[in-house]
Amino acid sequence: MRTLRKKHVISRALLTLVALIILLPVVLTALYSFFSPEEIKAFMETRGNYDASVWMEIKLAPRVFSLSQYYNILIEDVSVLRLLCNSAMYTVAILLGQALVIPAMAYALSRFKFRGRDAIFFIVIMLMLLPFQVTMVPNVLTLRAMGLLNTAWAVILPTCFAPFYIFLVRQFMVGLPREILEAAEVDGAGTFRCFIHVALPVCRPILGAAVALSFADCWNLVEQPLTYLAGQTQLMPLSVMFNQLTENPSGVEFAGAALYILPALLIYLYFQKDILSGIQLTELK
Amino acid sequence: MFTRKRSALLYLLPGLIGLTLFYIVPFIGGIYYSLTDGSYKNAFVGLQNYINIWKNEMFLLGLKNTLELSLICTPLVWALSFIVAVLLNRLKPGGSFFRNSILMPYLMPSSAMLLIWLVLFDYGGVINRLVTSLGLMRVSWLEGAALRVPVILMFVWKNLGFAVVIFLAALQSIPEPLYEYARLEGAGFFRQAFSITLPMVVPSAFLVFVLSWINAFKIFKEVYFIGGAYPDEAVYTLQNYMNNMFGKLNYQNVTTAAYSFAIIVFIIFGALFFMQKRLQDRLN
Amino acid sequence: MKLKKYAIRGLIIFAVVVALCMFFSGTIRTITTAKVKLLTPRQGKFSEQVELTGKVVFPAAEPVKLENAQGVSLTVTSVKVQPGSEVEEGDVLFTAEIADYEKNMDTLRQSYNEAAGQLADLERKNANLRLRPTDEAWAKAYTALAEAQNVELDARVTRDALLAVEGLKAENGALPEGASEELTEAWAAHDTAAQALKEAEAAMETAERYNISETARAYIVDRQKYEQQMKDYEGQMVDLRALRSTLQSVTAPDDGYITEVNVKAGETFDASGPAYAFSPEKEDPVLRIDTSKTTLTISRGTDVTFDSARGGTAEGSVDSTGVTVSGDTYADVELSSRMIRDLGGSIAMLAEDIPVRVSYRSNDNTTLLPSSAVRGAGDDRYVYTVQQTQSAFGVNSLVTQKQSVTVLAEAEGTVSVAEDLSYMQIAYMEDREIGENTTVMEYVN
Repeated sequence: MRTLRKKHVISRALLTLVALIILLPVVLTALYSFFSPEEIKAFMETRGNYDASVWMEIKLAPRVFSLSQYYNILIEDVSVLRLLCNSAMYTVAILLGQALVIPAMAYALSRFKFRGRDAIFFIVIMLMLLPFQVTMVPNVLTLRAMGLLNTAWAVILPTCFAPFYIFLVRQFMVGLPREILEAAEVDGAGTFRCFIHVALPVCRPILGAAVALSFADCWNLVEQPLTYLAGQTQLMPLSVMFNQLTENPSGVEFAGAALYILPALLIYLYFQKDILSGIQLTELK
Repeated sequence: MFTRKRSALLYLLPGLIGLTLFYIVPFIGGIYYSLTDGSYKNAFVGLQNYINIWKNEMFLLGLKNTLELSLICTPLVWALSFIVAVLLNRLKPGGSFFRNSILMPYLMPSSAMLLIWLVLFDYGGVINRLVTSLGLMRVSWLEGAALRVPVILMFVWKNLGFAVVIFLAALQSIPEPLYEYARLEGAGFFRQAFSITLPMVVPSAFLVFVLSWINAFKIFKEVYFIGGAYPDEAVYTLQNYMNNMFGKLNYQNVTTAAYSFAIIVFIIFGALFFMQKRLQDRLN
Repeated sequence: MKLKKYAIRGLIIFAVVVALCMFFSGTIRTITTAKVKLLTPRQGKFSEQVELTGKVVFPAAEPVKLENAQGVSLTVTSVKVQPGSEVEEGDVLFTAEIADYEKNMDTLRQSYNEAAGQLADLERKNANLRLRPTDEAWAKAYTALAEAQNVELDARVTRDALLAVEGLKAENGALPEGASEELTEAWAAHDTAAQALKEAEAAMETAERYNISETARAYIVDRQKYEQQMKDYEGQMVDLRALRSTLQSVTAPDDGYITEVNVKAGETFDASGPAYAFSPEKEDPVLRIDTSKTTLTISRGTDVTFDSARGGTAEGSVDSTGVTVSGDTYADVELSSRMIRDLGGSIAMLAEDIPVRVSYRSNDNTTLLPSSAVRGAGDDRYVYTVQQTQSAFGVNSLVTQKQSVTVLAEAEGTVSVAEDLSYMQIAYMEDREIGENTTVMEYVN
């Protein structure tokens, strides 16, 4: 037992280090969001100095604890909020679309036997493997044909059919004990009732995980708006515009970042257990 | 298993329509683009586009960088996540805080995190302080070949957690008696790891590897945020190339590059699947 | 489960906060942002009315002394003029009396009578003396000699005084070079007088050859002396009498203005000082405006107005400017007789300071700003210009920026500034304090 404990101490130390490194950026972002804009601006302007004798200050405490970054963003210049709302709009729309499409498709791919099922699943996997820039080309062709390019739909519609989540949910459903659904079938429930009342509740963990992961993707949309929206600033989500925030420092970047992180963090906290158990229960092969 | 095809179709329909509409049909239709010259006559040029693109320096640079980056990132994430997962698995009841904090970055919008990375990796920043305290010269991380380091680190930071969780799921499904048995047999820690843990997690390991690679192929956001549309040539990825071609409305080049890349991706993952099958068979 | 509850609550709060902020941000911003008025400065000739005071001054005024009353003690009996009086030649200015006139007159008369008595005595004593023709001739020569001696002395004194004044010396009895006309004349007069004296002396010598008895000689000398004395006293009495009548009415020497009166009725007056100052009419009086109190540079041609005594306003313009001995600047306005009338006459206007409105108008185009837009004091003057800044997301806001200016002239309400600011927008009339880099809004009514 003694040696075991000792090993645990080493593990703990290592993990603490890893966790610290991983948490550091988030904590620093949160911390810096309470600096006054002037201080942050001055701090950010010391960047990019290639004089070997000069160091950037390590700032761990604000000179004056200040909410003025938040005040700037929330009250004075709501453009960040407007973009945040764009982000939320995209996220909600995409999540709704995915909710309509993905569980049903995963259900069909896992619980039905029909010709072409494996072919469809193969296509899903293939699409999953392809990076965005490859699938972008066919997407653009369709969007252009439909006249949706440079509208919000261009971002929302293709992303609704994200193959990765079809794959994830399908894998989970495949791993469900057969008896649950069959019992319902025997009770005379139709496939639809089976789907709604049995399959979905049982799949709750993986659905939660999928929502959380998909939320993260949507919240971090960059490529899609950049290519489909052709620089229409008023349609851009905040994630894209952070680039510009960084380029012209205005002292409120960190509050913007913190505000942007906050919903993701809350979503993560909400779905944390689901992600873990969902992935644990998924048959990932 | 249900066999009623009609109701199956009902469930499939929305997704299938979407996939067909947005992916499959245009994917096939796009082949046509890649075979024409893009002039107003749209003359058929055969494989000329492909030949051109494979001679295009920027395309080759992007391809090389993408492959190199993914070849660095994937094993890195894979190995690190395995180590972390093993460590986590050992403190089963108490590890949830570490697990949660390690998974967190996966849900963090990297665009919002970029700023702090830029601060940390500045020439006078914290990372360089660490570097000099180790007795080395300062590195200007944000330009030239060194730019790869922050890009890779950002990628690892973000994707480590998900891989760890997958590994952890696999590790926790290994029945404890197996280890007890091995310990009775006198097997040490490494012996246990190699003869019990590794074989049991091969499917998950493969999945982690594939997912990491998929994500590594998508290593564009970070590059774009740090370097813009035309970053240093050390990190000029294929995605940069395609985005720029798209920006120039050069659909021929984009489609041709996309299909070339798709073929490469398929070949790589085909090979991976094949290897995994062989490995699985042999272990069984 | 607790975590989930907190997370979902957090999300809802987040959404509510964001929604509220978006909804109310406009209102809060409007309340909290300083509001200013904006103006694009115009270029123009700075013009401004300044209230200054002026005084009437007679630049050509000369003090006048009563030259003929030197050494006489006077008593002023009445003064007919005051400063500013316009007079014509011959107008009575004031009257005075010689303090001891009667006594002086009596003394003179007594002296005269004495001399006359002595002459009568002399005649009586020598009643039996028969003057021969030779004696008569001698007496004539003697008288002529005395006369010539007096004339020569006068001429010599005059000549020598002039020589001393001109710093010359008569060498070998010749007229030195560089002598003035006056001296030359005096020289010539003296030569003549000397010649006459020589002739008189020669005549006297000739007369001495006659055999003149001692008695006749003494008689002739004394008679000549007494006659001379009587003539002198008579002359003095005439002078005194004439002075009295002059002083009974001191008159203006010419048409013009009396600018100063130093005599007072009922008081004695010492004639060594000036009795009054006089400015001839052809030299106009000027209105001298004290411009040392204003930052404006008043130059020739600047319009001035003042309230007319007859209601309304009178106008004029600056004719010349200058600096007083003590370093104060002034501007002169020549007063025409019309303007003098408008000022209420020359007497009234001399009495006190005259308020004058100077309509300053600069010659060059400068930037004109309202005073409330120009801040700071002393050499550190600045304005807040407003610049549109774009946030990273393309939202425009107005931010103030400091811009130093050089103030050329300043008056109530308007400031003239050297810099050309016509391409800028200037913030003024803010509703709360603003500083550099303050975000402001424009008033919208």
